[in-house]
Amino acid sequence: MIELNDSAERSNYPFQRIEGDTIIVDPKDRLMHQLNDVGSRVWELLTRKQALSEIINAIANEYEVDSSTARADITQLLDKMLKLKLIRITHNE
Amino acid sequence: MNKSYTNVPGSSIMEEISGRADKLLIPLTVLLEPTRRCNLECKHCYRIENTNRKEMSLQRIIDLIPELRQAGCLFLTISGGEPLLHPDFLEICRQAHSLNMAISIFTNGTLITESLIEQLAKLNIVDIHLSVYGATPTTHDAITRYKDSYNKTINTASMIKRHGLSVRFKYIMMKDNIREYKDMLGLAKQMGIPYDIDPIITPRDDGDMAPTTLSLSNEDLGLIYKDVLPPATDSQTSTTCSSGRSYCAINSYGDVYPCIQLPVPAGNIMDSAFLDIWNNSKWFREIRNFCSPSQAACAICAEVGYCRPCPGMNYLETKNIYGISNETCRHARAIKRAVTDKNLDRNLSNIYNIKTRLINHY
Repeated sequence: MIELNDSAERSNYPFQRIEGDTIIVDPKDRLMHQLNDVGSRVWELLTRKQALSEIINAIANEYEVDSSTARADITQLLDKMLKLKLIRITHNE
Repeated sequence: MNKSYTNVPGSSIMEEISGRADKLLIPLTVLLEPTRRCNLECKHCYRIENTNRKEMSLQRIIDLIPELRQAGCLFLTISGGEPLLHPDFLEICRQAHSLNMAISIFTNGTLITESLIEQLAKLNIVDIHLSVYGATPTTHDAITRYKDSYNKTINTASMIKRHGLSVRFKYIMMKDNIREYKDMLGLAKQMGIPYDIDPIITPRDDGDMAPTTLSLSNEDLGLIYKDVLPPATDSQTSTTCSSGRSYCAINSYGDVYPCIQLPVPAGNIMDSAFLDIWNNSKWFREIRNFCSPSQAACAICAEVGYCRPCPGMNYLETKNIYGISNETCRHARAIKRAVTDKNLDRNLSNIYNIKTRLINHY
């Protein structure tokens, strides 16, 4: 489970933006993943290591949603991306 | 976050983004030749090496890759000639990896070392395609005209697999190896290696038809389409082609082609930026208008539902992308026969099953 203090950064998988979506290629497991515009923005934010709280704030501001909605959605998204090995998580104390 | 699918590239995500890239004219897939040189002399090769022309410098290639990325390229195929003959092959792969491109490598496999594979394993290579022309050294080496090339390539395949990278066999079928095709498929199955079959021998880039004397006979073509390729459907004809829409090729002299099989220089990246050529070249505008059936004769042809028109084959045979390639027609006839025969076979087996059920009942 990802906590607010944790940091996330993306893996170095091949990817490309096509219109609003991001296509990510996992060469090892031979999978392709497609992120919609919100997922793509999160992927962009993960270019460098980011605390979950920073990602939530950025998305809440840009998409004009309240923090708790952003937190619930982003946490769920990052959990899924972690399971798919698209990101790495660092647990901070 | 939505879907995940297996098997790059056959997934529905791949089909969807390819379709989008075709419509939006994004060069999603680019084939890049760092060098035309090759250490083999395959009988069927389409490649013409021009020793009067200078190949691109490493710096130009290194600078080209971010241009391709910026233009929308995701899948970069590094091919040749034999790409490993380029002294900075690994450097080129590293540049593409650093820009998060999905790299495929087309190689004959004779020059790959264990140490190179260890380096490639760090670079998110999607797959390495090895050209294999037979199930025996005798047949394969006679086609490559290089002694021991078969053993080297097959050993390379095992080595790549041991290091956890994905490897595929590219089988080009011709008169000289068709008798071994079942053994070739058996070899791939035994080694656990997926394969692609190509039954088309193309003319050389300058239109020289000499390699096509190796083309499969009508009968063997029918055999391939009936037994080996996925079942042809009743309506195969696609009306457009991705060349110049979501795909292009760049040779080692910097010429940009709409497709490696359509070697018309749309521009040269030694003089112009890639995106300039992609957006403004007369040849790219021309190919984007290509639609089949391209001639009145095609629209009323008995094989129109089975044809896979290729502007490249049209051009190589007739010097006109709207010309009619006799070889394409020949393949359409073979596909139609294969579909017809499969339907006949299905009918025969249905009759047999009914009789069996009746016998068991009594």
